[in-house]
Amino acid sequence: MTRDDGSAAKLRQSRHPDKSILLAYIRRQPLDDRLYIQQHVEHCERCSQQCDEYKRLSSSLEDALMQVRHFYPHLTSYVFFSIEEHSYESGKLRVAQRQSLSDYRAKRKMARLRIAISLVLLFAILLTTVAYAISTNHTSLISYIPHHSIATTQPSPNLGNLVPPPQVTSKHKRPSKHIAVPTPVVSMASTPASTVRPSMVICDTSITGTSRYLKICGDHFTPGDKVTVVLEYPKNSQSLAPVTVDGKGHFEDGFSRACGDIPIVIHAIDQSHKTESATLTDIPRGCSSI
Amino acid sequence: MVTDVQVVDRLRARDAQAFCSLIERLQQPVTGYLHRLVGDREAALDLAQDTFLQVYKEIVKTSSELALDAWVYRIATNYGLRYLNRRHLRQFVGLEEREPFDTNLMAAGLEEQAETRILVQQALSMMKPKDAAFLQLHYGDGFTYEEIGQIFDMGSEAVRKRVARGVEKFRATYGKGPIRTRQG
Repeated sequence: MTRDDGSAAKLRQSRHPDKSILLAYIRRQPLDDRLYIQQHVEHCERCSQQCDEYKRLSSSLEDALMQVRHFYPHLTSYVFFSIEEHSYESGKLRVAQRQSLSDYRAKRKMARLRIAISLVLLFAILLTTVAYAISTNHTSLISYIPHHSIATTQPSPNLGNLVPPPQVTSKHKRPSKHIAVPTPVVSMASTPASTVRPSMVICDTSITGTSRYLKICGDHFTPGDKVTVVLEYPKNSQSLAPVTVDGKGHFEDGFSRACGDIPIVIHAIDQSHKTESATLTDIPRGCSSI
Repeated sequence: MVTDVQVVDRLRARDAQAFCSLIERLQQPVTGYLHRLVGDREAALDLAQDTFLQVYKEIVKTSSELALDAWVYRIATNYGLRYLNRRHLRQFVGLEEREPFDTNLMAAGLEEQAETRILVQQALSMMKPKDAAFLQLHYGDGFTYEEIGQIFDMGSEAVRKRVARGVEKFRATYGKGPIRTRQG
């Protein structure tokens, strides 16, 4: 066995190339291992037959497709005509697009104008309605407005004194609820200085031996009236001589009693106006200092 | 000598002379390719015209490094395949009858080879349009695998397998069924 016979046997036994490679080989397309394919096909009967089959098919295809040549009419003029037509159509399209765009803008402008007019009319109608409601004191409309935002000092006549007077509140405060709580009505007639009730205090005291001296001072009495100081004891009472109230509604009186005989209550009674009187209960007792 | 880049630049600049030269150079092969692909002469002429109009419209969107011929063939192929798909759809829904093969394609050449050519075209028409387009470009227009790869935007190896698969399908259908022709 020669060296050439050995390599031929190796080529016969080697892996067969892919069919696409065999086709590329007979079609003379670029292949990386063309020499190897050539040697393999020369020594491999199966691949050789495959190549023959491809050659036959390729020949038929080439004969049918390549070798028949037709002559077709020149397209140049047709193509240029199409291009002109296309340019014309494109131009027309651009003009149409521009036209439609301007139409669209005009329509949009009109629509905006209509909306603006509608809004103005609506606002005017609303203003007219509110003005009419206010002028005719339309309660159904007024009732929608919160009370604390109305600038009035007159409560509803139906509610009388049960409705609280309007209050000036800061915006951070919650508005007062309308609860029917009896509250004194603030009126100019009921708040003069004369409403200050007469009062009486022990304005001086001193101890001498086993007796105590108490000086009584009264205020806010009716000037010129006579006031009698009455000392109340647990079992009886004792009146002092009446004193006259000076021009400032002030009077003073005094008495001295044994330390164990201090009255429990002291009254000052206006002899002219019986309703104007004062009572003193917090009296120092005994002979200890105050 | 004018390079491909210069031609593309002139076309992108809307040079009418350059465009005229392009049409003169490619109209016959492109129309022939479309004629064989769709099997209808008039349709092929319309599609070729659409192809060049599309080239004019779209060339400005390309770059100077464009492989011009491959790009023109890609547009033509897209138009041809779209036409075939629509025709198949119309035939499928019954709006159009399936037409026999156009014997105008066999008009030239020797009489004794005519039958073989009809059989080849019939077999190709029974294949998927895209598979047939690969065989048309390789066997009909002499494009290499690399050039077909540029047209379909594929690698050479993928084209090699695709052409081999197309040949296998062609072999399966070649010579099967009676010859049906149409005088055009």
